[in-house]
Amino acid sequence: MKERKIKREKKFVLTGIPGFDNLFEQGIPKGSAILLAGGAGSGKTNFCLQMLAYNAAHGKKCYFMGFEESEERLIDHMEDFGWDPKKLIESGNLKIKRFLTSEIYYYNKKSDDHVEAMMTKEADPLLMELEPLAIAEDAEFKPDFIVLDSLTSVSSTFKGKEQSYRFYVERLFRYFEKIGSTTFLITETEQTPQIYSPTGVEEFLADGVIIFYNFRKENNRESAIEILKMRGEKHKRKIVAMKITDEGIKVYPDQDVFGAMEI
Amino acid sequence: MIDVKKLKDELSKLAQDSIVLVETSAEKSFEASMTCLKILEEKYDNGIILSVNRPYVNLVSNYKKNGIDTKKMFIIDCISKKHYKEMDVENVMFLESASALTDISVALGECMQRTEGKKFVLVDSTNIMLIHNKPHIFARFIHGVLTKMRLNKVGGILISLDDKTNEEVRAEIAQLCDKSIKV
Repeated sequence: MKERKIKREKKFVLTGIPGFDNLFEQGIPKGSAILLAGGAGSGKTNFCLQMLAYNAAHGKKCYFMGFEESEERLIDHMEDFGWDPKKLIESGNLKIKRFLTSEIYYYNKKSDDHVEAMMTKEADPLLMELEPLAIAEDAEFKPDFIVLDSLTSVSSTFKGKEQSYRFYVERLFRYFEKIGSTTFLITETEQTPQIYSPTGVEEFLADGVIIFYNFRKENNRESAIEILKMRGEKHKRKIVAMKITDEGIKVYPDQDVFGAMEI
Repeated sequence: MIDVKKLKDELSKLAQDSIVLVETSAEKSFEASMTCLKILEEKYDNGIILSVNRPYVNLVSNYKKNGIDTKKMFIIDCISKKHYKEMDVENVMFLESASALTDISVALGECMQRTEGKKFVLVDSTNIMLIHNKPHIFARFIHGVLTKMRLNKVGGILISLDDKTNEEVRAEIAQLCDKSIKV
């Protein structure tokens, strides 16, 4: 008798970014942790804000955790693109919060205590029981989507304590996996990146890696995007054109990027 | 003077969605471009002009002088963006430069989708674009644009100088077109 295999039904999420979702057969597997790597001004933050605006408008709970720009500034960016962030915040579907890098701590779920600042302590096996970051501060708010902007800022806090950072990042990925949110983690790289994260470990831990390029062609810049990796989903294996328009990001799934051919 | 009758006869024999390489001398280039446009205007409802040669304002002025209906033409201007950023007209799109091939290709694709009726594309000229781009990359760009035209059943003309520079690229472009006409 043949053994019958029961295939678990997968769920997928969409970003709502025109053209981008067409790069996948179905979408991003729900609950994935995705690394977004790219240089300054390559569109990573806008991509995340647009994706959150789309999903918040479709009734999903979305959480932007920033370490860089202020809440006001991020809201201004969203208003410039016409995404009406204040309405989404009022609806309770969108939350934008700026953290200080000094707030990177472990959270003790059992006692509601904020325990240890990781930058003051090397990896401690006792901390394995604790949750990284303070996502759980509002027990009612269970995000479907989380954006962390950026892992590079987090890593800078651990300067000189790389072991602690690796430990922290691993726990962070495990934590995101456990809470089931689809998570986007931004990392700052060069404009045409070869290394996609602060230590290189992050891209192995992540379920997906999306790269944002900013190619130089003569005296112009050409934006492009590539899905390097996405566990559990078929996707286009090509660097394709991307534009930041007045309405937001637009991806052209069939458009070659000529700037990329000059490298 | 170019042989208008020859050009008219040759182009009228071709199907609506044919793509033609028109080769001419530097002196006759502008006249050839205007003549092609007049022929295309009669044959199609609307046109998309990719200009890397003359700015929008100059083109429109010359079109008017030659009795070409400018309302039927959408111009992608790759040379005068810095001068006319705030121009309040609907039938023009300013792009950074003739080297912004990805933007040009995206713009042409979007215009082909948006433009109604029987439409054509006029590229003026391939030689100027070759000043700004590496030959092998430019050949790939032309291949991509011509593929979009074929998929959208859009006819058109590429204006090129009949010279000996970039012979390889010329041969590749000619191979992708339905016909080459020397005037």
